[in-house]
Amino acid sequence: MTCAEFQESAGLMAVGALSTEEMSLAEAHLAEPRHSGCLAALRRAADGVEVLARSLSPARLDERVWRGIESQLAGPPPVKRARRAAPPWRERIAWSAAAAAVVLLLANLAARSHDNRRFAEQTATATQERATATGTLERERATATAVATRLEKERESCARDLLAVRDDADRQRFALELLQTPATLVVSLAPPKGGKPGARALLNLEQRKGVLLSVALAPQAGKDYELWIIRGDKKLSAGLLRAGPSGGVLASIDSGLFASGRPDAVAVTLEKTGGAPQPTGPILLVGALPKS
Amino acid sequence: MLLPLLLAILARATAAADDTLFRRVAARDAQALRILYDRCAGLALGVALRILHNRSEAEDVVQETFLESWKRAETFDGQRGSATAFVLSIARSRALDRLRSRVTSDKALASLGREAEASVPLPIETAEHRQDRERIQAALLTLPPEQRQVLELAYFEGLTQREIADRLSDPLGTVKTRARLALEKLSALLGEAQ
Repeated sequence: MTCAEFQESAGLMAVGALSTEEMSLAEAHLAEPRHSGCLAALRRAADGVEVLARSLSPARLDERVWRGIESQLAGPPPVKRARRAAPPWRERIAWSAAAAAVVLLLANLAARSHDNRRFAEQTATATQERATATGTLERERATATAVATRLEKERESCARDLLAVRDDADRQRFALELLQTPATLVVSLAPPKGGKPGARALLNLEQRKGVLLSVALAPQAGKDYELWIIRGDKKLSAGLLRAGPSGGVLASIDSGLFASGRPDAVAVTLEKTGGAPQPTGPILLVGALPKS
Repeated sequence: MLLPLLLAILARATAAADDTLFRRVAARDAQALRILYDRCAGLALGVALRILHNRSEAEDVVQETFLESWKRAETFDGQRGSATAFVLSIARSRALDRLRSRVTSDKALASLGREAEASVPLPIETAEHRQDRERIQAALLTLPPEQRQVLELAYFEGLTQREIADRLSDPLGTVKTRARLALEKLSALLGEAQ
């Protein structure tokens, strides 16, 4: 709104003929810092409205109108009560006693009500706090149980790993001892059609001890390597060879397998998972023992 | 040349006095409100009666007007208009609120007839004031009828500028101009009346 527009509307503003929106616009204009005669125009218009009102015949006002205003300036007037004649002393005592009893009763009721309310509030608060604490404890217990379960699994896994390591260490020590024994035979196992040896068997027939050492038996999904002791046409399973990720295998051979006499050869086949009582898969590696 | 200057000085002095009065009212000085009441209550009643035609309601409006002036005293701005104009604007607004909310029941209509007699204003003005009023009324009559009509529709019937334009079938700009011209003429009379 410009100053010219405001001044054109000033009369209607003073006379109260602007809508709420128009009034807001006019007030917003007045709030602006710079004007060229807007306030003076509004003042002139307001004076004109005052003259319009002064053209009416004034009316006398009763003084009670002012008293009504005055009483509301200072709050509501006190309620006046008619004084009653004083009762005889007995009646007065009886009324006083009754009034005191009523006051005491009300006070007692108020106190009880207050106590009951406080008790109810305290009970509600305690119930809420207990529910909160129970919920917290339940959550903490569930968390602790989960942590304990996870730790137990890790402990078991760690124990298995340690056992495996210890077994490996035992086998390695066993293999080293066998290797250092003069009577131990070292038998190389190679593919039947020739090729580079893929494993070695350390056999001590006197002590009925043996191990198989390989670094070329890579793990294969759904299959297991199986070691065989061959004597004549008999093929005795000496157990499964579980290769590590790098293909390394160090397996000990059960001493019972040497009880029936000197083996002729040692072989490795690839069988289905879990092995087989007799070889079914192809012979991957085979090594014959030297004739005694 | 001298008259406008004197009028301007007078207007400033009046505004300063009104500001002082309203500062006292805002500071909860009941005596100051009484001064304001003595100055404006009769005019406020006249405006309320003119709008409501009911003395009892008009007196209620006067009470409400001064209670509202008491509460809103700190919003008074002497540059915008006189203390009287401030009070009268509240009285008019309150009276129009009542007029709008008034139910046009048989009872209300009946009471209107009864109150009409009782609402005849009592003479409270001095001879000098009466002369001033008569002079203003005469000046009002010199206004072109269309200008006077715009003022009366707006001030006493509470119509907005658009409603006035619709009722008179005049463009909005014409309504604005008529209101401005009429009020400027009346404004010039105020200094003379005071």
